[in-house]
Amino acid sequence: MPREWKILLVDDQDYTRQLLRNLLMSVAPEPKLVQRRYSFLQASTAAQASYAFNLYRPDLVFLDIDLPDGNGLELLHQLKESRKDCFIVMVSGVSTLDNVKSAISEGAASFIVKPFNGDKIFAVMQLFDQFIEEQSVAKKMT
Amino acid sequence: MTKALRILLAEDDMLLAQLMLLQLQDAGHQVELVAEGETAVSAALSYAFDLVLLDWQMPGMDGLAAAAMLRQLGYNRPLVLLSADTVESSLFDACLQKPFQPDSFLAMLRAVLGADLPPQFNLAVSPELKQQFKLALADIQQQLLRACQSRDEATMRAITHQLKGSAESFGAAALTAEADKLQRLWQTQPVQQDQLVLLLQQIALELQSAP
Repeated sequence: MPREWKILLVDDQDYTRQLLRNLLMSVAPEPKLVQRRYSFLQASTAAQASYAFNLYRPDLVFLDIDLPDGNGLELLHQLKESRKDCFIVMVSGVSTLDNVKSAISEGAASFIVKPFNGDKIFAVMQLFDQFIEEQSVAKKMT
Repeated sequence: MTKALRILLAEDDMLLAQLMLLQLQDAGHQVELVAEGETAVSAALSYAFDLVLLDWQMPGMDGLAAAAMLRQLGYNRPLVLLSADTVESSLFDACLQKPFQPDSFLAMLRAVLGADLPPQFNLAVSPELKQQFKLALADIQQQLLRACQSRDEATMRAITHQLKGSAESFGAAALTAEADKLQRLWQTQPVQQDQLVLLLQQIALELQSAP
């Protein structure tokens, strides 16, 4: 049985997390992507996200920048401190480049500007494949 | 004939930009023009373009830096560098030499678009999820009306921001467009309740529309 990859979705709106999950499920079978089994974890606050992150150790996190109990960028910083090799995608409704730059400097792997669509999710999943590939090459080298 | 493309053109030389714009529009393409690398990165991240043309030398972030940032973020669509010199860079799918010639542009398009492009997704949102959004929208409408009555500017801004980010995904593109317009307006002007009339109308229309 192949392993299951865990995706943590962090957004305070239920319907947004649901939409993101649906899009991920629809894009995942695309033949240009590495085929994996995914399971989903959800959090609607920074506190819940932090808890789920430490408990379940997700492989991939979609993290909204605006959270009711904190700033997503600060949470990104904490999560990367605790697990440097986690693939975290920041999500925001505003595409100011300052946000994008801060996210990159805090270690975000990518940045999605809402509204979500399949093209954006696909690009992120391609990047995730590449990241996993690079990680496994790096492991073999050591 | 290539199909009509949505092209983002980042070029700070306005005269040259206008010339390219006309030529591209003449060839049947839709073009959005920006003059800075930073704006180009923000615009490209909308994934609304088939092709991004980046001038090498622009004030602030140049074309190479903009391309590097986009590729780092996983941007998987064609990027074309515009430069007076030929530049070898793996960030770009092609380099188009200035001055711009319609023939060389068409040849470049054939080369770039003949390549292995990412698939395009047009995914349907399930009726249940649309319904869930509509229920949330009814709440949002009430919150927005209350915020207008109490002149609660922070809430008006927050709700507008939320709608801009979510509505289009659920098929309410007009709502996202109206919210986007307000956000832009509020960058330069103070928030006033009467500016929200159109947004409230769009919300009402969306709530009345068939599921």
